[in-house]
Amino acid sequence: MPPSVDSKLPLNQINLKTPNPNTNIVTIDVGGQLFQTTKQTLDLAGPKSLFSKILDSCDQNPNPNNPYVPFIDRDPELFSILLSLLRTGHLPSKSKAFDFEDLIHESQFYGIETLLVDSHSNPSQFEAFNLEKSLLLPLSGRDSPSAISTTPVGSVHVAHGSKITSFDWSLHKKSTILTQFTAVDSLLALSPTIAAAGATDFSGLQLIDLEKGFVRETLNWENVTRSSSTVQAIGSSREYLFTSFESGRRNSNSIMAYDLQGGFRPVTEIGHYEIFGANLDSAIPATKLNWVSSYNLLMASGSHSGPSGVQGNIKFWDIRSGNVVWEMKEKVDCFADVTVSDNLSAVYKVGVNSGELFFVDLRNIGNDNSWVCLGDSGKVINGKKEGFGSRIETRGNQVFCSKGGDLELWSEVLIDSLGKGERGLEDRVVRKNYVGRAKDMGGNRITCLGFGGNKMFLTRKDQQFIEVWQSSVRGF
Amino acid sequence: MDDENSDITLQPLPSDRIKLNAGGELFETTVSTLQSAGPESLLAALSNRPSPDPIFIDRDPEIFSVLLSLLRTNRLPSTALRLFTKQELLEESSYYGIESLLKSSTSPPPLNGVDASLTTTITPYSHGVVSSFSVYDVDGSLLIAHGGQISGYDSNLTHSTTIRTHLNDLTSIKRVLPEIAAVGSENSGGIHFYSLASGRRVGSCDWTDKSDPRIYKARVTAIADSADSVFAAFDCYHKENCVLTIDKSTLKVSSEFGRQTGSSTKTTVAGKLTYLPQSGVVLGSSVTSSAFGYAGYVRLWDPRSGSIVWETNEPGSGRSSRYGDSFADVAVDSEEEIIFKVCSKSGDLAVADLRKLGQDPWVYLVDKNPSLRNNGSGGGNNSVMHCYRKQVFVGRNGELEVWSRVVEREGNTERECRFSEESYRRNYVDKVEDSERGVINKIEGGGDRLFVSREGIEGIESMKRGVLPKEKACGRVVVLCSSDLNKMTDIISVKHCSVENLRPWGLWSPLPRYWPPLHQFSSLYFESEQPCSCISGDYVSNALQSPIFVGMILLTPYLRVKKWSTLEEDTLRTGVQKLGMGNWKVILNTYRDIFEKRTEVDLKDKWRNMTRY
Repeated sequence: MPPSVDSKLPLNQINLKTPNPNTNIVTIDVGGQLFQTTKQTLDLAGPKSLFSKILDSCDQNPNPNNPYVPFIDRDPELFSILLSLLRTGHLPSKSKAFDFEDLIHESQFYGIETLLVDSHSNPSQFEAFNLEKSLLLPLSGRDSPSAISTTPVGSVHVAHGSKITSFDWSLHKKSTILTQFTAVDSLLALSPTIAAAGATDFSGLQLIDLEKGFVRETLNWENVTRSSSTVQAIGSSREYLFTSFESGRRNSNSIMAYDLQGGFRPVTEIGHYEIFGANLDSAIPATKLNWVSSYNLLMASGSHSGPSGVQGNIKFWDIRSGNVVWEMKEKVDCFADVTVSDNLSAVYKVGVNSGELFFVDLRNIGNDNSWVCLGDSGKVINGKKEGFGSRIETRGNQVFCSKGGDLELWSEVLIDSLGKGERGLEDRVVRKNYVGRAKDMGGNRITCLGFGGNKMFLTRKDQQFIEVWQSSVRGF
Repeated sequence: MDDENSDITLQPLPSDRIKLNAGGELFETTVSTLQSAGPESLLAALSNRPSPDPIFIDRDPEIFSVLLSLLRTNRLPSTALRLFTKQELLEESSYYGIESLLKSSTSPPPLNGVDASLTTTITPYSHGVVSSFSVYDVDGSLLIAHGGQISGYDSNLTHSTTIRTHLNDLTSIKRVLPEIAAVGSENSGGIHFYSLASGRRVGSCDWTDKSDPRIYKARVTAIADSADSVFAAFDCYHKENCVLTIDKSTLKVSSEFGRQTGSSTKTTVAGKLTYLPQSGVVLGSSVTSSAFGYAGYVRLWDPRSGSIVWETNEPGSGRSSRYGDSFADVAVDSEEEIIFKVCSKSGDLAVADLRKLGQDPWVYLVDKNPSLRNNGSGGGNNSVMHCYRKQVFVGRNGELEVWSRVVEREGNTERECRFSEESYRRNYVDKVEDSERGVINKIEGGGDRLFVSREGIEGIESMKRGVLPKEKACGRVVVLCSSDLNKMTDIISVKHCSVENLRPWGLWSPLPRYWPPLHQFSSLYFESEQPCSCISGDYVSNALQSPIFVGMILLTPYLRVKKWSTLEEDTLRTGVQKLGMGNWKVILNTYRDIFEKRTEVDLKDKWRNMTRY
């Protein structure tokens, strides 16, 4: 590998070039090749990186006659790429000559992996309209995915059968661990190494170490009868981990909040319901927990399919007081799936009977407002369950909604003439698109949907892999 | 990351830095980096030579830079395998004396059955149907017996040697010394030792008995070895058998044990032998199947005294909790000292603690995975088992599954009872398509790889952990269609077809090399970067085992009536609105890109269905 001309300078030439002791220019010798850069560039690497140590040691040796040249015993070619990353914030095109794992490993050595993550998997690179299926992540064995959990840097964890498979942010590294569950129904990654997992047929919430595959801790909730409790949903805010439990006899349910910072200490219990008699509504445990950070509220939603059709409720809980701030009862065209968007200040649902998208404005919360249909509002609701199995998620200003094997993208069209500011969400123009090209349509039913970094992850029924959708990234 | 940084001294002493000149290119590194190569290596020796000038090494600089990266980071840069072959790297690293470092950096991570996937299929160049194979546990190298030949593959699974033996069909093989393979055949007598380096027979043993002239031309059915001896089960033509101990240093018979006479299932020759290093006993098992079901025994011998330590016979007495459900195969985990068996009727697995053997030591494992419960494979017929890395791999006909222990706590505390009926979890290793390739007849693990051979199928499949496809996993595949399946040269059309969850390794690699059209085919794979979606399950059936039909998978075009997507329905609605009902041809042509595979009649039918309600 011949050294590139621009980066290699004879030592004596550099000595001539540095007459000023207070110069900004730093010279580094990496594996026998000399590189010159500025202190500002090296500062970008952050205080924890190797470069900040180089800068410190440069400051300690201010000798103008014999400038100090720190030596790093690493590969110079890889260093030149990481130096470009420091200078410009993205990888140069010549980095394609190297495998990504090498760059990751080298950036870990220099302590600048976060910069590499930023350049490669930044959430701001997510373009909802320009998504294409770019990668299929294979899962071993024959179990189909049952739950996925994504992280902001773009790593993804997926539960299939009794196993949890994790892919790192570059999606180049894969590891699988075995759990005690027969199937994981709810999964949430709490840190790169810990995930919370629960199932509707298994007692307790397990905090699983994803590297070694053992259970760190089991969180349990018990009602008065001291029966076991199954996990119906997991959610989290910045401070708390929320878990919706239902007792094994299905006669009581509750949502527990655990401290995420302080060793999963139970903080508070909200919405404890005991079922007496035939009060069906209280018997519904929350099956989805969403934290609404702008309102400091927890949205807990659950539904129940009975002889009189699907019924459910959506409750907004104030964690500190433990009270329901707002509750919506779903009697007609109950949600198949529901989600809340902080950006858009609205709750979105797919009706289980109509299969259409609805929303309700969060800003006038507490008023008697009802669902506004975004799709075909005149649709006759009959006994059909057109929205059955639909998934709905929001990402930024967009709402993604799966119907069968297709994925719809609902986005707002900004129109100037509509006046400014004061208009309610009802006046907004929201339009539907399909994600993907014609050949992507009509696959198996979408079972899980998640977003992380600049990517969208989805899984389908009976398919043992994860689809990765992303818009083209600069560099790699 | 922080800890890593703090170890690095930013300013090594000037004397610590060292300059090297490899083939005219200058490299600078530290003495400590070079010394990490090990005291015996050439590089460490060079680092001890104080010299102001760069030390000159007359070798290729590019390959040196790769090996220097290996020394610095302890991992092989992935560009290395793109630029150089494994063979080149190995030869160059052995010049510098760092081949052990290279080997450890290229060896796969610890095998985990739930995370293993197919990487390659190793097929010998001629007579590719494998009759037996053995993995050398020390370095993970592989010996394959095929026909009368032995092929050796090193730890990187690159072909190293092929030798021809005097036997025509080898049925058992074992590498007993680094350079010596022991082979036996069920059709001709004796155990024979072949040197892998020279290809010569260096030793041979027969079972003879001076007092009994009937002991003659005994054939070898199983081979096992300990550190200093080889154990071989011998079977005579008139139902007399025993196990011989052969000394490794002299390659001569040193003792005989386990001799039995008769033709009952309890006295047939052992078909499987395992040496247990912890307790120093030899475990032998025999399974026979007849119209009345399976029968067999498991026996533990102490080779020093020749006496039976423990034995169980199945179907045994009525005392067994699973009377009538005798085992179809037995495997032993010599590390953990656990025996596993798979039941022939129910297909259940049972474990027994070797340290606590008794009348009925079996604990029957419970399988809780609902997706595996009704797999309809019909019990444990045709099952083979193998233990590796504390897991049990079971092949049931073509299907490969793994039973692994669930880690409960961080420090695995030694409990009184080492396992219960729920301590193992069952998972599939393979996909449905894989299982249709053929009946698994042998599984063996070594060097953190798992090897599987199938009945009558060429080659051995190799699996390892955590494999991800490089770069783009999906690509458009060109499918070659033929009008006459028996005449493969007659290719009538080249058609684009997308492929879903395609695994390039297993699927393409069994292709025969002498088949030019398919060779061209596999090179076309990954040509386009378009994402993809399909390959049908129409796969090789067990009956079609010739190499031509292995290729057949590719030649089956994917045809399925696709469900109408919402987009198509919407487009149809718009089309009818704009262009009018009945103008199906116009609608079809206007939205050709959306109705990709629809005909006018399809549109008409769909519209009738849509407007019916």
